[in-house]
Amino acid sequence: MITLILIPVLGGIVCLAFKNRQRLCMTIALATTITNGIILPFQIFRVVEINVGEWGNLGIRLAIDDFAMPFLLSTFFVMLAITINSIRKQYDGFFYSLVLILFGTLNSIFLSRDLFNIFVTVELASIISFILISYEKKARQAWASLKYLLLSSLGLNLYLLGIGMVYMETGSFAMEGLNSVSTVASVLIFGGLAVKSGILLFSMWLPDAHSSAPIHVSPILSALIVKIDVYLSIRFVTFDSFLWLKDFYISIGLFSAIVGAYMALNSLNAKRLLAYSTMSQVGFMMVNCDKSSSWHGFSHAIFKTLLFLVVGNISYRLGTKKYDEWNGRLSKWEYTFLLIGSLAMIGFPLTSGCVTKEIIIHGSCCPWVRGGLYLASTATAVSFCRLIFLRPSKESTAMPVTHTLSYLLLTGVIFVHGILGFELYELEALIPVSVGILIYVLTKRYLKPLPNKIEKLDLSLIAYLLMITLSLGVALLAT
Amino acid sequence: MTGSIVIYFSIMGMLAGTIGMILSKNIIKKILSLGIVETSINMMYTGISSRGGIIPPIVSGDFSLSYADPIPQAVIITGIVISFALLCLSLVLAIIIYNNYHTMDVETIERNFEREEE
Repeated sequence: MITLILIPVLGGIVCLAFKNRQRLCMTIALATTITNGIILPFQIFRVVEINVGEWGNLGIRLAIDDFAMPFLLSTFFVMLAITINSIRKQYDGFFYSLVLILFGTLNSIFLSRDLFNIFVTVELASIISFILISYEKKARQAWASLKYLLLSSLGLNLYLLGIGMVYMETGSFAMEGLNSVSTVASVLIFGGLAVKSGILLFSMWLPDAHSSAPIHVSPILSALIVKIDVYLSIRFVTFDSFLWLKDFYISIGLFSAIVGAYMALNSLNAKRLLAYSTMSQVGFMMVNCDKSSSWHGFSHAIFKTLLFLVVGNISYRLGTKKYDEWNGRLSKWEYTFLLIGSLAMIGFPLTSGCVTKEIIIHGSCCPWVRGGLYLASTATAVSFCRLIFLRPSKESTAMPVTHTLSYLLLTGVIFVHGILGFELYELEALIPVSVGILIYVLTKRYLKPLPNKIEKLDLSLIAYLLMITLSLGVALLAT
Repeated sequence: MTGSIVIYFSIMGMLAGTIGMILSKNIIKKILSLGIVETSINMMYTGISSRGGIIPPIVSGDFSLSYADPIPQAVIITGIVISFALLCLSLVLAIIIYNNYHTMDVETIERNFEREEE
């Protein structure tokens, strides 16, 4: 199990040593990722738990089980697609070494079972993502990264305060201690990690960071960094002290799903549209907060990576992120992959998005939640109609082989997952899709971008702290 | 006794740092407030470890003394390193922003971005 963590990190260190030799680093990155993929099937189908070192409860504990499996799989597929796609982009060895170390760190987050180790690995993943966001050293990227840094380190300090309280109460950092800690500690642990989750109002750094990051970094942010908190929340709600969280997640998840989709509906920048829809999809995952949401995390990681890569490469080629100006300038293949990603996103039958989204909608607890989720998926359909109804150009433009290869890999995963998981009741996903298309055709003239004042640094800090106060109130009332 | 006092003071320091992060308009001041928050949390772990006693946890053969708890001290060393790395990185980002806009004022920078977008 520890090989899953060690191999990418070692590969990253080797890349760092040879960082001036770009081709060698690329080969190392590809080889390491594929090696990890070969090891993965031998590891994930068993339930194993080991203690590293001989420290018992005080040491680092690693374990693997059903919750972690989709996340480990999605990490592998996303990293492979990004490595293949970035071959033509002439990144130096430093980029590949950061990506590989991030790969190992993410694997280790999904395997850790003790609270302090989670803190260290989450901080390491965050630091690497700050560097990656500002990799091209543009002022805009630096600002997005700094905003993310300030919010995220404040949140993780709250988390550290929370696990300090857990240590005071139970005498160890083991996760089992969470069964019997005070409510305040559970609020601090939840609230501290929620800054990375992408739930609306908790993490308003997200649209800026996702939309201004380099082409091959936005997919990592949206598919993997956001999933850290999704995974940890799914893990934490199984403990007794977090019972209040399950009901709270239904309301904030629903709120985030609907409002995020509405904000996506109104944005003119393609990357911002994808960033807002990440918030909406995280809301979908949080409503259920069990195994179905971890599989939705997997399918979301795959199709969001496809969309971000396609949109990033198109906007790099055409020099603009505004999708209105793409009309008639897309090549046929680019349009095809954009279409497949958007269809998976809005939950068209036979794609992976449909399978997992329908399971979440049918597994939700009560009718009003189900209605809210249908509303959110209609709004998602409306917003992605804007990408679906773009016109491809007549003349054919050649697409690099590496791009085609990575898109085909992700498309294959989308369809295999969608066809294997197909059930007849999923056809009712056609209702929100067709209603969404109808609404789009009727209202497309009236959609204008919303003001994004709330994304300013001070306001997002205040919103975050207010949400933590709110969750503290909810938790104290519930217990 | 000593431990509890340290813990209360560190929580107060953390609140002060958070308020500073919200109220100050200068990026450097915001980063320094973040530093105050981080230092307070690190101090809290020292407080946690000294609840049972304040004698350094080096075994001398005499077990009747009240030693400090070594585990929080051991883990928070990692925390100190992380907060150091975060402060360095945020200052680097602040330098990049300053080189482009020649100001450290948050509102001016955000107004600049809005103008660029239009």
